[in-house]
Amino acid sequence: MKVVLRNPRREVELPGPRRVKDVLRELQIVPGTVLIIRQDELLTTDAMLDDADTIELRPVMSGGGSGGVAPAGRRP
Amino acid sequence: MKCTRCGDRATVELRRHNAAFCVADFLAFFRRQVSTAIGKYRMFGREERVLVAVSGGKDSLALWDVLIEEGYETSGLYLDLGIFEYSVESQAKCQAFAAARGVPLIVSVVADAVGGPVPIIQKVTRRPPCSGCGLSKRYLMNRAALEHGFPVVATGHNLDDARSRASRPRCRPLTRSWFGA
Ligand SMILES: [Zn+2]
Repeated sequence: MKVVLRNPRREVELPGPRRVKDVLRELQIVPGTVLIIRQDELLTTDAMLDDADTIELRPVMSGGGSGGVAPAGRRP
Repeated sequence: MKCTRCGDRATVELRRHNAAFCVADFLAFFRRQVSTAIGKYRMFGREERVLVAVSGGKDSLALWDVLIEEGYETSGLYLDLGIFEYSVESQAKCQAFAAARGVPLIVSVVADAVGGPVPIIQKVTRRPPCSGCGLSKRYLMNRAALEHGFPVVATGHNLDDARSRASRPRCRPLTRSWFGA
């Protein structure tokens, strides 16, 4: 399966089938810090993925927060 | 994983709440969380007009959306920071939202009010951009609220923002305004 990561954007290829939570563990990502996206859908950590799947792991963070936060990726 | 409410397939998992929701029940849960917090912390009442500071991002527009749905009288406030294409694009998002929901949007240009756009303020003050920028934004939010007669300013953030704010005391809220999401 293809796993797309952000900041910086990169792609990782992992063999399936395996659950989302095992993918996160393999990539040392703490559950709850990313949205797990497959096509137009969000997945929970127990979802099963197979070889043909492409998922994106998008960090949960703000773009142009109105209270004094710089655009994503430009934080100090 | 099943929705804690209806038992259908869950899309959103909220570990902090030990719950998981389908799309419809997540939206209901989110809206309830906001109105509970407004009541619990006595943020503002139904009779008070709310100026919602919007950046064009998901946090602030979600807050605006939920306040409209809850029946509050709101206006959006967009601060044009003068950060080139980024500002043009985010203003367009706020305008599209305001038009779609039939709510007013006030646009305030930072360069007009404080004498220069954010990239220039950064050079002049030699402060990190979020510091000089955050202070200008707070000032402008309060000024717009006073000018247009709003007793309440609402700003939307996620927990990630709240965490980074805690380590940057200069960016703390200066007046009565609240975490919305
Ligand atoms: Zn449900």
